[in-house]
Amino acid sequence: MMGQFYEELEPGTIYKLGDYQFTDENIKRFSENFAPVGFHMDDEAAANGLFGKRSAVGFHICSAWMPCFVAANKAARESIASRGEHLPEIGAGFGLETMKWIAPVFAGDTLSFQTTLVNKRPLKSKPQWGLIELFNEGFRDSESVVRFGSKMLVAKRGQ
Amino acid sequence: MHHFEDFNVGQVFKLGPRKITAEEIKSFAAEFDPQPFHLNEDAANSSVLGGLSASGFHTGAILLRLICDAFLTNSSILGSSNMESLSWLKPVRAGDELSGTCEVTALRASVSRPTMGIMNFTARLHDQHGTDKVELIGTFFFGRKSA
Repeated sequence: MMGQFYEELEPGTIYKLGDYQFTDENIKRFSENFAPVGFHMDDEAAANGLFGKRSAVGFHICSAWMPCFVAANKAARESIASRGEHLPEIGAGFGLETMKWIAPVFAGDTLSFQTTLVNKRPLKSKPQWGLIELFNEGFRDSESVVRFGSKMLVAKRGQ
Repeated sequence: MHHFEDFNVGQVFKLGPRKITAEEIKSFAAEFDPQPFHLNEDAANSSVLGGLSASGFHTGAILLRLICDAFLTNSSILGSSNMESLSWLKPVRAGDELSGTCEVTALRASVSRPTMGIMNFTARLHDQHGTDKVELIGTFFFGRKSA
């Protein structure tokens, strides 16, 4: 997690991850590939829908958090590696929880993502790894538009 | 066309089958999750996932697509405001053939919008060996016939 081992992580830490820009092209392409339903695909259906115009698929909005996380993680790891320090192996994710789409996202919107380390605990089944819980949030200007939790493994420094 | 009134609690829709390719795993990962174990076979083989695996966000999106193909595209779907959980049970690999089910677990009228009904569902995909890979528990909003 950001180049740090499990032992060094402090619950309560907030990490700014960076921005993702939604365009008509990437909104359309994600909808076509993964949610080809009327209100995402068709202007007229969208005009009659809950949001009034074509909007990004909810899973697109959550997925947009990930490249921001990866970029922030990569930059942190490179900075630590440049000091000649040892880096933890990157752990896998377990899933997402309590995804909430508070407001629709449209072409031209830029979301700024952040993640808060909520909790950490050791794993009996994987003694070299710990499990961390993150609370992730995307903002359009100062408006919170998406929130979800996630869980992932972080390598322990060990003895 | 499925409206809210056409669904029943306990109703089960079949999902898939859908074969997963290395090309689509790498393509999604390049855009959304550019980590070595989603992009490169050699890096993946020596990683915690033990082989090239789809991004969990990709797996979730594929599950959503299969729900669309099963019934959502041909429905009065209005959207969703929340999902309870998306669980990555086992890595999804290139060559996996995913299939599964989407079960309607609850139906209720919307109090705030009388023209809308709310469905809770649980969807799950397994591979060709029967191993469960991904599960989504969530909510959809549908238009009502009387609307």
